[in-house]
This record gives sequence, structure tokens and C-alpha cells, in this order.
Amino acid sequence: MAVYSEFEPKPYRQQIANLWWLERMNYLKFILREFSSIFVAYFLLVTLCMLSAMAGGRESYLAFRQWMASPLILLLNVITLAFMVFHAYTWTLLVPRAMLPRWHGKALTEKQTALPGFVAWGLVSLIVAIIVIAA
Amino acid sequence: MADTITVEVARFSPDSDSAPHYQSYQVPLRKDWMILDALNYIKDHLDGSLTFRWSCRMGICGSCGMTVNGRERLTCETLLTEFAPGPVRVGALRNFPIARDLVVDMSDFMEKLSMVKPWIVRKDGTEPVREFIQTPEQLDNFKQYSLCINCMLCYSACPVYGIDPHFTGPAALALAERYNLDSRDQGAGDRLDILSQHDGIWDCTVIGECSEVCPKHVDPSLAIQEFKLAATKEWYKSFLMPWGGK
Repeated sequence: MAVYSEFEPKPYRQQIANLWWLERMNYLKFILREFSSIFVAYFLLVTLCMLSAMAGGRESYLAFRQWMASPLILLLNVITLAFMVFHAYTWTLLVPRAMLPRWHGKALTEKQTALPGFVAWGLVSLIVAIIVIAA
Repeated sequence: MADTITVEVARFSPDSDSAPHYQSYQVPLRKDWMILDALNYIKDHLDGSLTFRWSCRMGICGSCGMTVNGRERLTCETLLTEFAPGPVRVGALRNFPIARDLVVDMSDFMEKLSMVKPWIVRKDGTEPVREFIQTPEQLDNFKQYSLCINCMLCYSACPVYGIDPHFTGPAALALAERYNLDSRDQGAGDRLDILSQHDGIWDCTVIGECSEVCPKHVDPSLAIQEFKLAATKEWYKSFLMPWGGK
């Protein structure tokens, strides 16, 4: 514990602002990334409800679809989609923040490390799109 | 281009002020002047009581870190003209106690730095009879972390450190990783024992601003995540093989 004297007076203790996350774009992006987890949880819940409705037969699935078609749920789902894309995008970008693998003795660049994640994301999206369109 | 620029400088005197305030000065706007030159001009010609740290003027000593218009910068390598026509605001680094004007008290960092054992630890107990040989690849492994100049810009940019001052923080962890990755070092286990505690590495929420503001392109955020990975591996190892020994 510091002892303050005439020659070593008490310093000013800076305090972080309550709304610190609005001060910089990177801080805001971080908070939005964390916040997007709520929408990821909501999406999983909707998926579980859909599976349960499908297991309940045609009638229950149609009722589920009707419920999902209500304007309020549609709006919520559009917001959820936006947050899910943001979540996936920022998490894929985080990979080079956590590791930079080496290739033939040289560390890969941030872009090279993030690329496989985006390629995998694109491929999976393409496969899902093909399945949905074919159905 | 105008002849002068307004520089607003944070002032704080522990004897008379309860909080910092800004004072404006008119400084010549010269195209080869850095923010540090403007501060020196103020000290030499306008107000001798202005207090700030500086030394090398070439981005090596890490003394002149401040906030310029709210962003952490080394003032010796930040051009004044970047902020023309002004005004430009110069403040102390954030998250540290302010001793006077632009000078912050870094004692907390110094304590944390010594805690992470930033030196080569040898366990074999023998004195080396010649220098340790290292390949270029082995040097390349830790080189970027060794470029840290302890300028504290990363601590100022880290909101986690601002919220929880117990957090070990970016530079100390980057320097710990610098020695962990050094082929001559045998102290990684010791450091992990200290740093795998909650306030060590786990407080970091990967905001990544520390790596953004670093003037030497060190990546403390990467160092912390590498630490987390190593700590997780160790935990699984000790959980799955409790008698395997460390």
C-alpha cells in the first residue's frame, strides 16, 4: 500500500465510464458480439421447438409454422439472422486472435488463419442451400 | 494550412485539483512536428509547469505514451498535422492513477511484471559454460513478443483492466509468453501456475484493442489466448492423468 507524503501526493484515480463500450468501435463490436449470444440461444430454442413440432406429426408442425409466420416472430427472426451472421463472422475473425499456426516453419498471417473458417462456413451454407432448394 | 493549432492538454495538480481539467495552448503547426514537440514547445515557451515523460524521441523507450484525441499513441511518433486544423486533445493514459498532468503511476504494472518471471528460468541447476545456441526459427517463435517497450498503451486501451485492476494485463502476459516460447527457458510451468488463476489469463475477454494500439506490433491478445490454450491442455492432462505428474 502506497504511503502519500508532501513529496509523493495522492494521485487521481481514473474511473472507467459506465458507457465505456460506446467509446470505441472495437468495444462496441465486442459488446454486440457478446450480446449476439442471446440470439444464438433463441435460435437453438426455436430449432428445438421445430424438432419437437415435427415429432408431433403434421398437425403440430403446421401449427408451429403458422406461429412462426406471425409478423412479430418474423421480425424477431430477421433480427436474429442479422445477429447470427454477425456472431459467426466475428467468431471466425477471432481465430487468428487465438492462434497463428505455423506452416513450414513460418507463422501464417491473420488472413490465412481466418480463411479456412470462412471457406468452411461458405461450403456448409452452400450444401444447406442446395438441400433446401432441392426439397 | 494555418500557422498555429490549439492543443488542449489535461492538467492535474495533486496539491490543488480534485480532478483533471483541460488547458488550451496555441502551438505552431509545423509539418515535421510530433505531438511531443508541441508539448515541449508548451513547456519551453508557454507554461513551464506542464509535466510529462519522454526520453528517446524515436519510439524505443516507451515513455511518452498518452491519449491523443482519446486514442493511445506514442506522442513522439504522432504527427501534429494529423490533427489539423485542430483542436487536438492530449491526455494521460487511461486506467492508471494520474500523478501529475500527463504522468501516470505505473507501479501496479511493475509488480505484475515481476510476478510473471520475465527472465530465463533454468531448472537443471547448472551454470552454462557457453551461450545457448538458438536457430532462426526458435528466435522467430518469440521475437514479436520481445519487441514490447512497456509503453503501457495496451493497459490504457484494455477496458477489462479498467474495470478489474487485478487483471494481470496485456504487456505482462505478452512478456511472460515471450519467455515461455524461448527455447532456452524452462519456467513455463511456473508461470502457468501463477497465471492460470482467474485474474491471470481468464479475465481477458478477447476485445483485442491491446493488439490494435501496440506501436511495436506485438500481439498481446494472441499471447493471452495461447496461454489459455496451454492452461486448458494442462487442466485436461492433470484431470485425465492425475498420477501422470507434471
